[in-house]
Amino acid sequence: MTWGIKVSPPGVDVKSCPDDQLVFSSEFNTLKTFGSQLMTVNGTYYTHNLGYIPIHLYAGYLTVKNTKIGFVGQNTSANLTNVIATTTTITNDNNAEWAANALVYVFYDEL
Amino acid sequence: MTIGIKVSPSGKDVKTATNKELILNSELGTIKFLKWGTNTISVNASSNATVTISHDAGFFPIPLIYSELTPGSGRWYAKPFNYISTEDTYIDGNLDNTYANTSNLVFKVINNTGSSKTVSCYYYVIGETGK
Repeated sequence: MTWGIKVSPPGVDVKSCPDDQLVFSSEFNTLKTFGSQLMTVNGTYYTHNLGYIPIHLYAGYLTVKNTKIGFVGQNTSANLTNVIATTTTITNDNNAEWAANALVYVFYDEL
Repeated sequence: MTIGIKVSPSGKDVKTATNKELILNSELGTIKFLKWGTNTISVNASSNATVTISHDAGFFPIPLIYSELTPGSGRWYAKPFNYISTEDTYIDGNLDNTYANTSNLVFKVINNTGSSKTVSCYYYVIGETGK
């Protein structure tokens, strides 16, 4: 018998439901947050020093359109920013015409 | 003593595993999905359609969307993507038309072809603030 933890949503039998219906299963890895950093228009270095390229997630926004947030990675025609990860830092390329910001989440998990 | 949960994979000692090796560590945050679902959008020839999905997060969440631009093609694109000439249908990248705010997820589907299209989407609203 394999030991572990499974959690299902209300109304779903945790013993028989398929894996994609589970809220949590210890058979699968989860993203674990290392930290987060606001990347500003002037470019902000977030030094993580993990020694590998971590999984990271962000959605960009513009200070001139403060009531909206873009999709993950959205840039180009929206003039949002790109985010670049290395083994030590997260930076933004800041090629946007406007004040493009991104709140970046960095995870312990490696790409 | 701090109370919490740590889960390590088989063969790895949970007491000595690093955060990277652990499957779960309750001391660390993880991403949570606030809302998800599917949507089917009918777009007339040489026209566009704007889709609004309510999420009511009360904050600016991080949105994700995957779309099948040609019905039944089996080709699913993750937003963002560049214009795809073979599809000739796309989700507008302009922040004025495709965005999330504190209550809704909004995106505009543009159909440049001469026939109507039915575009299928999966959407996910991640329950973490994006700004």
